[in-house]
Amino acid sequence: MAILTPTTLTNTGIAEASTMASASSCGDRFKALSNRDFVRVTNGAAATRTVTIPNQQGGSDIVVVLDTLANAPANDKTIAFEAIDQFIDDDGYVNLTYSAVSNVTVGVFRTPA
Amino acid sequence: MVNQTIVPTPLTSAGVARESYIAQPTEADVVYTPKGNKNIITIGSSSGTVTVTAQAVIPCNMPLACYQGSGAGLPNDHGLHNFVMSVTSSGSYVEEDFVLPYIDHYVDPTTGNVTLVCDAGMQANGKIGIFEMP
Repeated sequence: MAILTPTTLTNTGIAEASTMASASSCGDRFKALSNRDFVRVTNGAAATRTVTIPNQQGGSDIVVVLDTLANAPANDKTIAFEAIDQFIDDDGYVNLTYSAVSNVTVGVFRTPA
Repeated sequence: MVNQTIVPTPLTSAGVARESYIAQPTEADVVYTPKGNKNIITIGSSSGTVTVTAQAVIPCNMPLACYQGSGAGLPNDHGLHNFVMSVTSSGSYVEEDFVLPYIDHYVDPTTGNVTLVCDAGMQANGKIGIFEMP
């Protein structure tokens, strides 16, 4: 499972696309800070992809379907957290898994305090 | 003067296709109602440099902070520090996210709104979207 490092947005501008990386077949995770964290996932494939973020407290998982590249922009989703604490595991990470990873890129971002 | 009002799009755990909410401005002045410092301003350029200026409404008491990086602000006609956000495309579409520093400096106390002024390049080749974190 690859570890993603959140990029903090600034007043000088951040090109999100340039900081995103290929999704890992074993899943990805990031060290969560607060509800200021968000995830962007893009699907460049001809088949849909599903991103799952497991709830660590028994509640509902976050499940987001990315449409195909042909159906852009629905292939590119930003996922924010209303209660990120529910998704942080015992090691302090939020975990992401994918139905398939080919042509999928992911990035984690954070708004400043 | 006619303004374009943009209602910030909430970002949620359901996943938001943000590109659906990023579009060419229809007016030179774009206004939105901020929610603290939870807003993200996304600016795109398909050609050249596009510039969006957040209009300051109170004197900036922290000039060093206001002059950070490429978001450098210059005093407006009233001696206040506007905040300039620029994105440059060298051919392909480029998009960047900005967060206003010291949001209180840009909120009109009467309306509760922030005014963003789009330059000619922005109106011709730019796109803007405003989002809101939970």
